[in-house]
Amino acid sequence: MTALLLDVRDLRVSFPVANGMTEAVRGVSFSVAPGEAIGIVGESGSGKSVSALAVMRLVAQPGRITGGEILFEGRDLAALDEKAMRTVRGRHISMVFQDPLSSLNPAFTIGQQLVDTVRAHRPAATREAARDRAVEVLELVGITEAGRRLTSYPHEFSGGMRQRVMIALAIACEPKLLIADEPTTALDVTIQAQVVALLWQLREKLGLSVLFISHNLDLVAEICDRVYVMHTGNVVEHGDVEDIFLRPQHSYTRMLQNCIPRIEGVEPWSAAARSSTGEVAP
Amino acid sequence: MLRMLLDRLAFSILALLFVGLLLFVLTRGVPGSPARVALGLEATDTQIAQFEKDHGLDRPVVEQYIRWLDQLVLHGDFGRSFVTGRSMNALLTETLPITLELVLFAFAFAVAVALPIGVLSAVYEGTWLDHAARIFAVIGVSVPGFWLGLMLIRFPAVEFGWFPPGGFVPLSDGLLAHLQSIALPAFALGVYYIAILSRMTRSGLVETLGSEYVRTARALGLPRGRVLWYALKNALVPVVSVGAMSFGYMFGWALIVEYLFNIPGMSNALLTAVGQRDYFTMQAVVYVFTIVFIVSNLAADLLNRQLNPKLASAQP
Amino acid sequence: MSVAERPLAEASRVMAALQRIWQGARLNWATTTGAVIVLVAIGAAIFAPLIAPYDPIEVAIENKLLPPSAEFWLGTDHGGRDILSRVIWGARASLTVSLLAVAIGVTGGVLIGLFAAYHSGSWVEQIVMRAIDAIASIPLLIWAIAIIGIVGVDSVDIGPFTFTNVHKLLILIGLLYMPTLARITHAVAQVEMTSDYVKARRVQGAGNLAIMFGDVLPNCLSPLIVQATLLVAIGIVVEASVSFVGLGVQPPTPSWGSMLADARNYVFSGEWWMPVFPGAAISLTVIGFNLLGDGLRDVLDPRRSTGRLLT
Repeated sequence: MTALLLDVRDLRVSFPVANGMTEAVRGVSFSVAPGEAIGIVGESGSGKSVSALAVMRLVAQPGRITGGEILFEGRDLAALDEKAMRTVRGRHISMVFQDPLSSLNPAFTIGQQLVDTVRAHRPAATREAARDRAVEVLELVGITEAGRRLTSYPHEFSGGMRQRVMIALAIACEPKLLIADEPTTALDVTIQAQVVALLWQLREKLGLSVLFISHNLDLVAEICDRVYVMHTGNVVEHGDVEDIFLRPQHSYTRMLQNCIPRIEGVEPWSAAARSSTGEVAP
Repeated sequence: MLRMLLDRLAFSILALLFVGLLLFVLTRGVPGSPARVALGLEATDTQIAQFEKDHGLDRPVVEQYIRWLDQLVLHGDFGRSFVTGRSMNALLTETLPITLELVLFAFAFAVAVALPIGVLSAVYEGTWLDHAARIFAVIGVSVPGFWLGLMLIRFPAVEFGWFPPGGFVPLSDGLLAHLQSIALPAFALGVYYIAILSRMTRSGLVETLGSEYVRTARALGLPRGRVLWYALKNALVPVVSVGAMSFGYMFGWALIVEYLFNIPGMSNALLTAVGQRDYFTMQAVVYVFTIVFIVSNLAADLLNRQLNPKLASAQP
Repeated sequence: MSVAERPLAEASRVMAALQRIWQGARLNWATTTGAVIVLVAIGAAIFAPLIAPYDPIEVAIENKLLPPSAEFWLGTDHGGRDILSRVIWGARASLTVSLLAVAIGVTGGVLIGLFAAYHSGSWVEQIVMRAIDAIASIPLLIWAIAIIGIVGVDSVDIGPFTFTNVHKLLILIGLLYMPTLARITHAVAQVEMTSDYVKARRVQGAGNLAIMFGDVLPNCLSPLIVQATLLVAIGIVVEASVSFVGLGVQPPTPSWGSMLADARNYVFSGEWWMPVFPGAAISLTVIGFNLLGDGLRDVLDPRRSTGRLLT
């Protein structure tokens, strides 16, 4: 059995409220093996995004990790200091966020942002080398005329292209794990499929492991091997995608499932049969 | 973008013309002829009529205005004062650089102090530093510049003798003495703007540091300095345009500070003219003040549009 | 509920409201401090004849330039006049000018802004707002000084009214305040005019004036109140500055600005109490209005975070 890439054990994240602390994540455990694509599904407020941010140690202040271990390649990220964590972020574990318009700095060109990312983890790299890598990685995510587009600002791109840029930034330093927090939620339906396909491609090409967070169960089912279902801060069910779909154990999972409209006889997670919003394509 | 620039520029020019006309009407509308002021109370009616004829004051107001405008715009000449007989251009050449220097010093001082304070307040949000800066800002924005100046004259200057209590030492008389004479006035003038600009920087930076794109920058492992710059570049956009506007306002408040410190700048020209009822000089000086004000507002507007990347590419 | 129970219910509602205000005040001490200062200043202005220990105008040379003592708490000036009394009376000049100037500015600004928004999209609006922009190009302090300089500091009689210099000053400042207030009103009103509830009101048959003043205007009030408070603070300093150069409140009427002008002559000798107290009065009053304005902004108009001064 190969060692787990990411092994989160009994994670707890709390936020201070008027008279004490409230736990957003209450003892959650999940793992990602090398090359796996894992999904975390749940509705808003289930704690899925917070769990993902906790892995990156990016939980918004004044929230904090109050318990558990986050073992990445054996090292407990929860115990690292900020300086060490900076060497992990972007380099070993990367994250892609939901809204690419607000998640990309509007005051800098994407070339600058890419070069800054490369040089953050390879300080010895020359500007040209960093620039070349920037072009390389833009082409990898399917942006044409990459060289020219280095001088463009984020708002000059369309929604889907912006998300590709975000993904490019995330993979620029060849991380082993990519966390995608609702990467398609802010996009049009047709674009969603493209981005999902892109993630799939990159998974194969780069041997990337993916942790995919979503509220959309069948979207997760399209790309993930295993799924964790979260509800109010706990993992209520987990297992292989098929098991979750065909034999949901927990009532909540069944509820999520039942929210997806379906046509008699069509398997819900068949990518060929349906788009991610649940409508059946002819 | 170009279209918008031209539109703003055109409007500023129109505003200048409007203001010029308003000033002209105000100064010409005063009962009593400038001739009487110039010639004195004993002047006879014939002398006054002659004076008026000589200086074109008997022509219709519109014609006078056009002539004034023509003289100013095409020849850059503000004309001559009837009371002192001096060329107003000469007066302006003498006084404007002094006021300009005072304001520039005050402005540079304000920016140089405000930005670090603002950045530190934001980065160390909630600490004693932040609270201290907030208290200073409250005081700085409320204390009138000329009272601060008065206190500065009383204590560091008179009591301790570190600075001259007033007067202006030109650069030609020595750099150190020059700087000493301008230090207190510049400080008094600048404190208000330190308060304003530092608070703006702080609140803008706090906001951008909490933004999603800064979160992305952190998620990519960028070093702290770079993350700060990523946030700051966005946060400074409104600060720059407010700074530009502040320059214009500072020019106005410089009047009081100059008066207090006996600095022979434009305020001196204006207040002396008021005392002598030299309306035409007043008009010229006020017009220059207004030009500076309008230009800095225009600069602020343009800077805001240019620097805000979303606005820059959006069509007017 | 029964007739007997109604007063009780009313009283408990009032108590609950008072308690909320008290809790709010305790939480936000800065705004409360500001409000207290403002009330003290206004109180001093209104009740000056009652609380000032001495006559602020009467000269008593035998008492001149006395340091603060039990008899004259803040000392006396070069005319032997009690500085505490003059400071108290000075509040009257400062607040009259600044509050009335803002009142003029708000009245004019609101009417102009509503008018422009009413004609939203037409050339009328364009012209009005451009005219407003042109007036906004006028630097306040310089022109206030210049215009009074031109017109002179003597009182002017127009018809049955006598305009003292103070009146001239406050009208001038009020006029120059109009652009800011008109812009705020116009901006808010313009948005409100396109909102659904205005359309609903029209369907209900409400006339345009009723909509303007009944529905649109209340929504403009929040940013206007905040801006008005801050403009009062500015007005106090402007009045002091204009009086400082001798073109504002004329002697012997006490004004903080002219008291500072007097103090200027004594800056080399040791009479520190002459500049310190009037200046402190200006500073404190301005702090009060600024704190109050900021606090009001938090409550009424929290969207504009970059304009925030103190938080």
